[in-house]
Amino acid sequence: MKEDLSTFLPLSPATLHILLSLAGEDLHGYAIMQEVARQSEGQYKLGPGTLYDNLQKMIDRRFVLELGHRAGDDDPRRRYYRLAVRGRAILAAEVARLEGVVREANLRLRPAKPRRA
Amino acid sequence: MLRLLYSWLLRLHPEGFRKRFAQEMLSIFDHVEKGPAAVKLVADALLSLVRQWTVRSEYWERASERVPWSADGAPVFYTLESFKPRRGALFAGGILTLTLFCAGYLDLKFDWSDSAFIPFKGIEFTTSPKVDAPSSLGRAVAPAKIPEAALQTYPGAYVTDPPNEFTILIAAEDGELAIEIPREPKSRLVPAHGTRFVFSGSHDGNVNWIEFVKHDDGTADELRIYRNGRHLTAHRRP
Repeated sequence: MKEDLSTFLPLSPATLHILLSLAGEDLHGYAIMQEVARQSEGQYKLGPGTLYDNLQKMIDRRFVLELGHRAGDDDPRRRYYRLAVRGRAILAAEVARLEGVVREANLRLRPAKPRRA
Repeated sequence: MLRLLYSWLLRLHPEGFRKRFAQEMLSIFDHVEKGPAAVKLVADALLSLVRQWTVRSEYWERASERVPWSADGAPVFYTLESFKPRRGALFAGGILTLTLFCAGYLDLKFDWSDSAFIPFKGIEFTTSPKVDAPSSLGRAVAPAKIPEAALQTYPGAYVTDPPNEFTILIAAEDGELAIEIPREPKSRLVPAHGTRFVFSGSHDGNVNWIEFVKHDDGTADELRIYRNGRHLTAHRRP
């Protein structure tokens, strides 16, 4: 039975950006921060406090998996995170919702057609 | 120096958060260029500290709780003596205490007469004649008529407390209250709010007021006067 994830929508901007950054590959915290800044072209920047506060929630909700330290990494304090199946599903649901919003916005913001007298 | 401050802020976070994420956050701090970026991280840590202790405190308290089990598998129950309040509750309680203390201090520091003139609910407002409201009340307002039933609960003779006993007369005239104090001209009383009235025609920015204390049956049996810097209490003569 498909799980109803709509209770988690809409996602906060921080959650959305974090999930989006993990959609491509497993990343550690600092890399997530950098990827979020890159995706938003510098418009949205996450501090570590906000990042880990959201990661903690996402781990508890099983949107994100905590992988731990990766062998060969130069900083043993770094831990990597992976987007879970549930996280991918909620991200897709949020993107679908946003597409609907954009569609509606384009309809309403379209210039009005001139009317005949 | 900034790194020391940052690590100190991390140490102040709830234990669960600290154990889980402090090292990673410190790692990020070490990778960031020193300067404005590091200062921003310190500010972020401060915000994070407040957030974790206020909004997320219950989460970390639940996470740290472990149901105690005895050796034979039965749960162990704590008695009241071993109760310890949650850290988040202590923190929130401290903030609340400080807020209430400041509110109480400000309330005591500033006389009630510095506040705005608040009309008594249920009083019918009229536009005639204007009362020269004391300047310290901030604005002149039209006099309010007290309902007749309420008006009649106040009149009477009130005797002040010893040692300097004298009688104060309260009368109802033309829908308003008037007060007579020995060796002073009769004054009208202008409703302020509730059972509080202001002496009309107060001068020099001094607001003289009188407050009635009502009995259970609704009649006033005590009054408290603040007049020309003095407080007086009087009780209704039986």
